[in-house]
Amino acid sequence: MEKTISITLNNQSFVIEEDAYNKLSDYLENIKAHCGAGADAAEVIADIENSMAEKLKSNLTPYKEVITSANVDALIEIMGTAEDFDREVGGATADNHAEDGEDKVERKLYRDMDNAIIGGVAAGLGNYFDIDPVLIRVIFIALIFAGGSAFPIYILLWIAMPEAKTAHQKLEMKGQAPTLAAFKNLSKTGKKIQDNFKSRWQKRSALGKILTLPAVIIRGFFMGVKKIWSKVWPIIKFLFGLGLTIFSFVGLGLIGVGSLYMLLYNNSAYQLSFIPISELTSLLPYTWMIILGFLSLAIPTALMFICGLSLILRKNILNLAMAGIILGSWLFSGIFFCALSLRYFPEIQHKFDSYPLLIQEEKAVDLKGVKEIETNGHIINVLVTKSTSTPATLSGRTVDLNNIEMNRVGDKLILTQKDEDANKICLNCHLDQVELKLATSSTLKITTKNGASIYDETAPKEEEEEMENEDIEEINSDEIIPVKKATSTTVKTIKHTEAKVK
Amino acid sequence: MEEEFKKSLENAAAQMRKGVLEFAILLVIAKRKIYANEIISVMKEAKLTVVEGTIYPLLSRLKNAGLLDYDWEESKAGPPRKYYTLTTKGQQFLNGCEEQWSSLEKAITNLKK
Repeated sequence: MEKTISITLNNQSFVIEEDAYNKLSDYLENIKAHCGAGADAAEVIADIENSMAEKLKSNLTPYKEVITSANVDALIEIMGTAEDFDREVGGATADNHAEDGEDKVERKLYRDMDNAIIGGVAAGLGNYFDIDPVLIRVIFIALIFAGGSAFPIYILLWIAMPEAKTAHQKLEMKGQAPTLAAFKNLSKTGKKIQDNFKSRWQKRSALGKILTLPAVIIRGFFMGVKKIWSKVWPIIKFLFGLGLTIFSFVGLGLIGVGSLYMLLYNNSAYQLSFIPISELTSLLPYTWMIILGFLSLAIPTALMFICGLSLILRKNILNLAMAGIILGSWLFSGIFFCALSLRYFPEIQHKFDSYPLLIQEEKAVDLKGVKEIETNGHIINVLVTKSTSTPATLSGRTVDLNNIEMNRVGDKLILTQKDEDANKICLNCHLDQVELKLATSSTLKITTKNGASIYDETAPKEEEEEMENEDIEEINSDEIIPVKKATSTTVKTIKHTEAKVK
Repeated sequence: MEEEFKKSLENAAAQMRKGVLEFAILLVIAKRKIYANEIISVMKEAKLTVVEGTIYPLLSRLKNAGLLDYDWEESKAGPPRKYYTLTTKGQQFLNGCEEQWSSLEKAITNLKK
């Protein structure tokens, strides 16, 4: 049994055995180093990969689906190594720096499993700082005794540092340029180190075994944990990604719809009547504030969406440049939004405080001589309180109260909802309920029309509940198109009406 | 000593092959539209063995020098292939090479007499 890896070569996918993969990837690195950089080299490499893909495809049958090490060997034989290229045509580009492997590039931090005792962290750090890893191991051991901080540090580094797997990474780890000579050197030393961990263990002296035993046990423990974690982690990532994607998608929708609404209906006093929109538009750079506010909310949400998608698809969608642009525009809009908000905060607060539509009021209702009350309009609710002494009041927002006409006809008090906006079509006109509060002391006949409701606190419990359910339905259906209802001529007279109270 | 001799002979042969490789490739392409794999097999038949990887840098260089042109053609076996053709400049270059070759051949024959 062999472990396989899935690769693409010239847009074709191949399943390849692990050691064959290592051979192939080293070969390609080698060729790349030989060809040097630039568009010409890229073309040559693309041509070579193309041809290799074609040849590898011809090795496969429905019964042989995997590229083996032997296939790769044969392929390399046909294609020739970089040395062959040199001999036959003379290295066109790479000769100039292929001579010495000393060509230094910036070192990169990788875990060095070739020289590892536990996870290759110390060896990797040693490579990075170009010092003997033993020194770093001594520091780690010292840190164990000095409070045990070595453990979390080691684990964090183990997670954070990637392992140097390919020849190219191993060179980067040692700060060597990926030249032909460097590759040759590496494959020479590589053969020496290729004896794995087990045989290195066997080679150690008895004392060495005892000294490294704790490290070996720790290594075994972490390998086990890593194995389990590697199984569980993808599931956690997927679920988290899914949640994040859905959450941010819904969030984006809400933010978008909300902002559009605030932008498109900003000239109507009847939309979103709990916000003094028309007052604010005249006062503020309203449009800008909405757009900036939208951006400062939507950008991080969109970013969350992208991250979620990346987690689900297991592919990094965002590149660094894009992330930079996004972050920049978010900072820009956020800063401007905050600045504008702070600048206009007193005015905004003042507008909200003095917004006529938000002011609540309570009016006394004179019930002297009234025997019968008739209400007409869906916003007028009647509440019969248990208390016997409270005077009758009509309460609600001032705008709504002004919208109610009170007429006396003999001993009958008629409350009518004026519909001055009857001709205006609006989808989200907001009319709050007005409440007529009555004490139980007076004996009254109450009639309601047009969907208003009566809450009778004195009525028996079950009945009240039943009534309430009906009322809720009633109110909902009214609120959706209140104006339309009022304009229609065939007004339903709804009767769960006559509630006689003693 | 033997080893040294063998090595330098090998080197001389390689140098000669190196010199004519471009010429050989142009000759093959001049006959017909052809792609890299076929070029290799034709060369192998002619007992001028090269590893395939050598061809690509050469083709790329010749193309950049304006001697060759290529178009992509679909193949039944797999991905599309680059089929190379000679440009007019390439034909002129090839003619020049042929002249050089025959004069070289003549010179060598004369020397061998």
